[in-house]
Amino acid sequence: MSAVTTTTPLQDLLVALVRRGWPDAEVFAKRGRSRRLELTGVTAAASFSQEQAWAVRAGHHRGSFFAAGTGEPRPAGPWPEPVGRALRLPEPVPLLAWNDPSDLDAPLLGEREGLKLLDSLGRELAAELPRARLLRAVLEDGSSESEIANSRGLKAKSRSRLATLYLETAGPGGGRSPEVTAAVYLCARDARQFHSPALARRLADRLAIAAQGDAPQRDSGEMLLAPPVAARLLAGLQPLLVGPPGALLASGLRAAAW
Amino acid sequence: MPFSALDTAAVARTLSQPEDVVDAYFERKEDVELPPEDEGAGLRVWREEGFAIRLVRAGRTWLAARDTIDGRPFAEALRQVARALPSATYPEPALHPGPAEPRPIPELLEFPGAVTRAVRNHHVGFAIRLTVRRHRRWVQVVGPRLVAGAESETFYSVAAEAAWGRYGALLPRLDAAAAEGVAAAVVALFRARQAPPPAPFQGVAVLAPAAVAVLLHEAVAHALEADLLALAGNPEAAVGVTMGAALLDVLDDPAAAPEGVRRTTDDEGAPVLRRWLLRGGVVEQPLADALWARTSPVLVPGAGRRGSRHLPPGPRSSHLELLPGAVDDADLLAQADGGLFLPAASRGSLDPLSGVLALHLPFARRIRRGGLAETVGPCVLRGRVADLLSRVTALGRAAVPAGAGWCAKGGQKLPVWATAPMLRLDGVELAPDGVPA
Repeated sequence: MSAVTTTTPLQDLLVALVRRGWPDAEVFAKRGRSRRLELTGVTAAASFSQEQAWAVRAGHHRGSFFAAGTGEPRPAGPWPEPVGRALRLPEPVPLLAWNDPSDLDAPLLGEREGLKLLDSLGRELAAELPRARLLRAVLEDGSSESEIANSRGLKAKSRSRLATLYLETAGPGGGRSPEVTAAVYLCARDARQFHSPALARRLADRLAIAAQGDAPQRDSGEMLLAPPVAARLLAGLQPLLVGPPGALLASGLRAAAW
Repeated sequence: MPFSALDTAAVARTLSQPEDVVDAYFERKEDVELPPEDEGAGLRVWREEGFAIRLVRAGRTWLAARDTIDGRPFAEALRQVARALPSATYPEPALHPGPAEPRPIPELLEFPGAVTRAVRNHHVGFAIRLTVRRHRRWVQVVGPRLVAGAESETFYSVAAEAAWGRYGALLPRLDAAAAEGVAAAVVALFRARQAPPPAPFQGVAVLAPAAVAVLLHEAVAHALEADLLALAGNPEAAVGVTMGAALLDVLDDPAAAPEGVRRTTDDEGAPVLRRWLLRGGVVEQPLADALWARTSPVLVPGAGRRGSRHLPPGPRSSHLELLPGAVDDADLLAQADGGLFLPAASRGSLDPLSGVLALHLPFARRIRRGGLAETVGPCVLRGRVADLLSRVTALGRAAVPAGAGWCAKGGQKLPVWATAPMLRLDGVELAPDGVPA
């Protein structure tokens, strides 16, 4: 994220909102593009989207509103009437020096390149574990630029880049079921970081365990969590720590503990 | 209608591809939210519009979507879908959607107070965080030969959160009956908050219409979606298979959905139909969209739905109907002594490969001497679809609007509606929720 001068449309919108009698105003705009490739056993789909959206929160001491939309924001609105509580907008703070990582500039994965990755995953999975197959594979690759400004002087721009890969697989089952399934959902900054042989091995291991492994008996005691498991544990606790619903959930847990 | 001024004829001319499925999908959405009182800002409004152009050729789909409705991005998206060189030029049709028409929403602002009063009428009092939303959507689909009529939907969603649980509902309107429905549901959750889960149970279960709706959605609708059927083989092979008890007649009929969400065409512009999913327990017509209908003459389009213009459509249900039986509700309970009454399900899931279905119940009631006795805590009804549906032994006489919910299959969040009577299942297994199967 970097401190910047906001572009004119955003600044015009901010000025228009303040002039309408809403001294507390903040505007956010984002543009992005993404490619999505999906393979199933019988279908293939390639999508390309260009997204453009904005969000405004504004109000005065007697109330506020939030509005968001697609396309270019229009200073004329329509805007909802401010109701409820007043806003508390963040003040600007100095930013630490920051250089964008170089891979932010890497182009999005091409359609052929992406389909090749998904095809090779299917082949390598079948090579790792005979009769294993890819049920569904979804690869998404996207990038975006966003900008925010508010009436307290905050101005910032940021860029984002993310690729995700969802893989759902089936393999030969054990005694209980003729077929077992395993799925992974991964993310990386650049889709080119997904390594199909390693992923195929990982999924083959999961399928083999699902087919042959037994669930442990009820157990207690010390356990050592690998970092990805610890991360999931912490992610599960996150709702307790964010916003008003967190306090409500935490009070419910306290009541249950007592 | 925001799309009345679109030059649909010009759009249709640009799409001319006789051997392929090709269409342009225009949508406008508006969600207005009244957040819980403790969440700072007042009303929250999301308005979006855009389009998608889709080409299906030999089972492969290409789609290009934009967050605006204008001639130039339309021509650019056409070029992308056709995978033509950047130098190729495409016509830019005149696309001028009407302006946003904000509508006053007094019903949204008044609803939390109405729910609070209705809760008090149950002689209890507790704090709940209530989020109320109005959802509006307008759709216009244009094909090379056919321009479907524009469609619109309006409905509401309510989410109630408390320290002891969460309740969500979709509602066709916000009126006194809706407020009482939400209040009764959260009061029932409140009263069940300390009930211990039941021991593993095998026996009779009577499902109220709200729980039947979730059962039908998972066990019949998802199980008969052409794309999920294809995971295990040829979707048309399902036709004629006995999937449940002979008294089960299940339809998907978007045209009979509650007023405000009724449809005459689907999100691909195909006319909807009163689709018999099960007739006498036998599969008659799986859910299909244009893509799957091209794979077999047995599959009929009309059930293509889109959660977003950025994703291709897929076969989904809209409004499920279970035709009523001949048993009074009181008799259903009287014939289920020692069983469990399941008033509502919080969620359901179906593994399309194994056919195993899980229906999660936030609480249940024991049935004793034809009446409802003590409450038991969270439990789950689990079984294979065909086995569960073959255990249906009686249906109530009165089919009622059975509530609705969000379905998020494949990441496309869509509202689904249902009309159903009470239903009795014999010899089913329920386990305390949270215990592995």
